Amino acid sequence: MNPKQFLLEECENIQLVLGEMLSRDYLAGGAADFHHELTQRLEILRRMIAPIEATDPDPISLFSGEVSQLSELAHRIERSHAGEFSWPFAEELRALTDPLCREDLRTPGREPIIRILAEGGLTAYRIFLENDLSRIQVFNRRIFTIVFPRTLKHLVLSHAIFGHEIGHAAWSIPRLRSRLSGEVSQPLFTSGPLSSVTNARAWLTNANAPAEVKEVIAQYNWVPENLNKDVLESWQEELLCDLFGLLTFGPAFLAAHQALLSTVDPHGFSFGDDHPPYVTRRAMLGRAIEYLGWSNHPGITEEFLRSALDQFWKGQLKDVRITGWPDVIESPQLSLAIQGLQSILGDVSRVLFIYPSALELQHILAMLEAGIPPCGADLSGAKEPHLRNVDFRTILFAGWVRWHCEPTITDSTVHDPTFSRINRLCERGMLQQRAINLVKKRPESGL
Amino acid sequence: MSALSKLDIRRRMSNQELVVSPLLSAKQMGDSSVDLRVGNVFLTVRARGISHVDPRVYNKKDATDGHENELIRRQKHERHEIPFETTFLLHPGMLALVPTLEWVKLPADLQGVVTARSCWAREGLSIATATLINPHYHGIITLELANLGQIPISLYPGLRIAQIAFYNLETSMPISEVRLSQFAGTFEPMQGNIVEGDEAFMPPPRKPPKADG
Repeated sequence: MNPKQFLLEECENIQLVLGEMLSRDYLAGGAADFHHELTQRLEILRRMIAPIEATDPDPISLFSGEVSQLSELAHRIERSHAGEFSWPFAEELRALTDPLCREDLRTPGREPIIRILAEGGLTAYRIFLENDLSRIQVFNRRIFTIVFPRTLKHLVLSHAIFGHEIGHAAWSIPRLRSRLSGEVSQPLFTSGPLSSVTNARAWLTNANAPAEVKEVIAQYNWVPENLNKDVLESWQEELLCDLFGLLTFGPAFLAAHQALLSTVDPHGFSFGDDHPPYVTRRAMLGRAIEYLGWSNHPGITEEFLRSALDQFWKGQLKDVRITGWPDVIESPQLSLAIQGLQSILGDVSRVLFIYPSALELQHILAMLEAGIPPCGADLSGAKEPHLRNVDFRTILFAGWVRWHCEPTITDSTVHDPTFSRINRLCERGMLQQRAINLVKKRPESGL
Repeated sequence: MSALSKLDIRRRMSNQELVVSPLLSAKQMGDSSVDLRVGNVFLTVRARGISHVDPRVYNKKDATDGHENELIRRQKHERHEIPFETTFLLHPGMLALVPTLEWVKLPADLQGVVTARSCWAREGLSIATATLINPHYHGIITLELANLGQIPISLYPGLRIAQIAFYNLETSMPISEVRLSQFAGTFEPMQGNIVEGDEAFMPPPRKPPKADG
């Protein structure tokens, strides 16, 4: 069998897998768009492979890569069963990502295909992007694959970390990248340790750097030359995406960020080609919270709520050092960057996190406190139930606050508020909120 | 024991002694009951799961082969997550365990009784057997749906198919006296332990297999 025959054989195999895909039970909306796109791509590849010489190494090598990539895309759908991740959350994420990532490829206004799947690992959260736009333009639509950690299925509070991943997705879209670069990245890194490779090397090897950093440098035989332009750009992108996460998911992002990253890097001083030290990210987020004023509980006077929020912010900000070596972004830089990002996100429906009203937060927290899934339901038994839109990020925020605060109601029929249980209540609340939204959208069906 | 009227139900809800959440419309409240909606998970028996229901595999005191018993219990059901605006077909003779969309919380002095809504019952849909909800219960309610008709029934999450009526107990159940149901606080249907407390009536535990050699 020559290489060309083998490639065509593999195309047949992919065709079979695509056929099998239709018999499976995938997420709401089915896999129709994904299936259609992959089928089209397969046809294009077949047509392109047909005229090549059987053993011509260059096209064989090129198309073996393309066929392999198609095989991987087809395989990923196998991990996309609705029972493997929290679909109420996934649907919210899809609704958030879709308008943001809408872009022009061949046909103006074509939205990307967003596929959601589950994989193993605590830090499986990510978005696979098709980055090679020249190649994608041969095809039709860009495929975004959102990956949830399989075992954290119900931990919707941790899923707030997706704000960071959406940032990476936005960064890969030329239209958004250009604005993010000019309005966020530029002010953020206009000066300071991360403004240039030279400054970054000097900062990392500074005599005043913490002992833990020196240990990391010694342990991995790290030399300043390792920090090149690509590494610096990756670090800058990470910080930008953290800011993106904070402004899209609100305080829940900060809590998820802390829970996940401090678990994988408890000391906070590790760094690599892709990530700057965690402490610098925390410092920037801490400074951003100061700027946004969220920890001052805007507009909230109720003592119960203030106390609960105090406990939340105390827990979140206790290890943040907004001074000294980890503090790489100055306030004026950060405020300009936040304003820029708020302007970009504000242009896309629903993407920017809006701090909830005191009344809303109190209502959601009270439901959690009583062990009831939090949503915009009316519990009063009124003749005409008053249904409200509650943003899922408010539910996540309230969930994290509930986790941090001491219970004020003792109801022995309500289970201890374990983290897992709070997550399940929030997930259930998000599901119920979808039902509320459906009825509000089509009131004639519910009234 | 007396049944609660719509006015009683509203009064008990207003101070949140009684919770049925979310109530999506005025129509959901009957004169002496509250309608319950289909949730988003369907548990059905797997066609290739187990040959029959054997209480013995639930008997934790008969731990001859814990893995085998666990496997049998786990293999019994197939789980389907059905998002809104999609359907699940309930075939004639089929049993499906389905959660209500609503979260229900009962106080110390109320008991709930769940039945099918009459309009659905006329289509052959039966909300089977286990209809009593005890005081202090909280969580979703599992509906045991069976299609007693001759043709399949298409079910969509959110449809009102069941109803719950509430009855006053003559004496409130203090929490200290309550043995919370094995299903209290659950978020989706699960199979119960059908032999719990009745182990005395089960055959003596099987002897563990002898090791080779």
